[in-house]
Amino acid sequence: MTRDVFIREIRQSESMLYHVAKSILKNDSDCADAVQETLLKAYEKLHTLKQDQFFRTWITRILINECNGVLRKRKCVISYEEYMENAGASEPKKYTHLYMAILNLPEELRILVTLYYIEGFSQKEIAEILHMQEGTIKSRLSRARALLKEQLTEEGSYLPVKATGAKMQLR
Amino acid sequence: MSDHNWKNAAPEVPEEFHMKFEETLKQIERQKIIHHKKKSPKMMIRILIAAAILCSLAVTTIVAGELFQWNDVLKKRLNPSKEQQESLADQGYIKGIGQSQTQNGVTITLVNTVQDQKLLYALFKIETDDSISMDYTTSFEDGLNIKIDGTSTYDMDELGSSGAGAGLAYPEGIPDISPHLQYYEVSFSYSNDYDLSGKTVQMELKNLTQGGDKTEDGEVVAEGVWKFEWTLDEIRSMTKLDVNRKCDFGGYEITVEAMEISPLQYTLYLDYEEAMKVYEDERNRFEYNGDDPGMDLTGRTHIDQVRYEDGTVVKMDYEFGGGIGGGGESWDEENKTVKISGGFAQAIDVERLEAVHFGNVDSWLTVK
Repeated sequence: MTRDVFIREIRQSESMLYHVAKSILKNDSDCADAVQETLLKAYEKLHTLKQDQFFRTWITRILINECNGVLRKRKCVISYEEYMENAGASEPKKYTHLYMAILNLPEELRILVTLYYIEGFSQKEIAEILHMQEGTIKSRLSRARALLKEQLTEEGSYLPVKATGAKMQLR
Repeated sequence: MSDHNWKNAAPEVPEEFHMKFEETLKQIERQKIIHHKKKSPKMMIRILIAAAILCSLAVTTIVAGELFQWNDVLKKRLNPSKEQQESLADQGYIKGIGQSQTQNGVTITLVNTVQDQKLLYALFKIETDDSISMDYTTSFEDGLNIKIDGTSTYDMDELGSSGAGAGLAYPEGIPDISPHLQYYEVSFSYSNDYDLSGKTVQMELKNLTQGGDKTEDGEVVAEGVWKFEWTLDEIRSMTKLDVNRKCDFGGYEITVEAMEISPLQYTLYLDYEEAMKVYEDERNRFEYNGDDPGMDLTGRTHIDQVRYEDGTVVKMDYEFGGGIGGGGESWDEENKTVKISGGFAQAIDVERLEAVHFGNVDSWLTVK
């Protein structure tokens, strides 16, 4: 992949990168830092990307590693819970009910929901990115839906269906 | 009732994020090509130019001279023995400059430079009058403006992949550091075979700031552009050792074909196919929930000890300010070589070197 193609692909992935980072770090400033590091690292190691078609999963893997690195560093300074509370508190409440509900999910579910429902990765791609069995992904997504349903039902909201944009009323 | 779908549920990219994103892409656009397919021919060693050329600015006082002595910061960085203090100076790795400029109550002195064929380091002393106090947030709006023979290093493709860093020096046990005296270091390294001998180097430090540099919204506390220029002596070539031995880099048997060393840094030449296996696995064996961040090739080849021919083992102390930078990775698919470079945490004696220890994977490699 040439530098120009790399930059074009990265530009097309900007919102995806932001959403994935956000699902792990929550804090916008940390997201920007993690994505910046990811871009520099990815460009430096571009030669390891053997097939361009895997660009999206490749860059997502690097980003998630980077975000986890940020979390690890934070954990050394303050507790994870404290960091997440601070991160949440520092952001203005400008999100949709559904996104707020997603942010309230446990970390391992947030990233799955983001990748699968928001960014449209297939379960096979997610399995490659997160090095998980597809069965685990299915069951976790099911758990995530149940938790979201619980949260949104209290607000009288709907849980949308993937890809079609149609809505499914929660029962 | 909310009317939303998954895609619309996620927030748009915030402006600050977008700005940093674009800034990073521009940085990548400016970067040199990382994959080196062509090698720069080694430059002829130029005739040495003995004296540094001095800048003359209307508002600036300049004092120049060859006042060489090892500064304490540099001693902490390289931990040289008494013999090394002399030999490194004699061999041109360390140079005393002694250029000093005063602008708006801030005197900056270029104390020492350190250089080998892939590394350029400058140590500045900053002294301020009573009206300006410095602390760990002191910086410059622009502290990485480096030119070699009049050309910005950003525009020198012949250097290959290059990197630079700058900041206040805080090695432990430097007695004279105070709110009115600090040390500032600039380190520049590059990957190609480019001979620095006889080159004229210019460095500029622009506007002293407090609270970080420009990117961190630092506040300018003293305006000025402190310009320094000096010419390098002949610099020794790196010593190349033919190693041709396999080494276990934590589960990866990789042939180390050769090692290039100076007293300050090293470059390992690794078998391409065997080394690339690490990169491939790094890409494919992704662990999301684990605590192990994994180890790239730079991590696996990190040298933490060296052994001399008489059996003496020197343990490098990277934790408390050892080393002056340098290092990087490059791949040459045509010549089937992966090059990994790094800086030693203290000056080593190249002549006596027998083996190196890769600390993260606990492996010794005999190199001579």
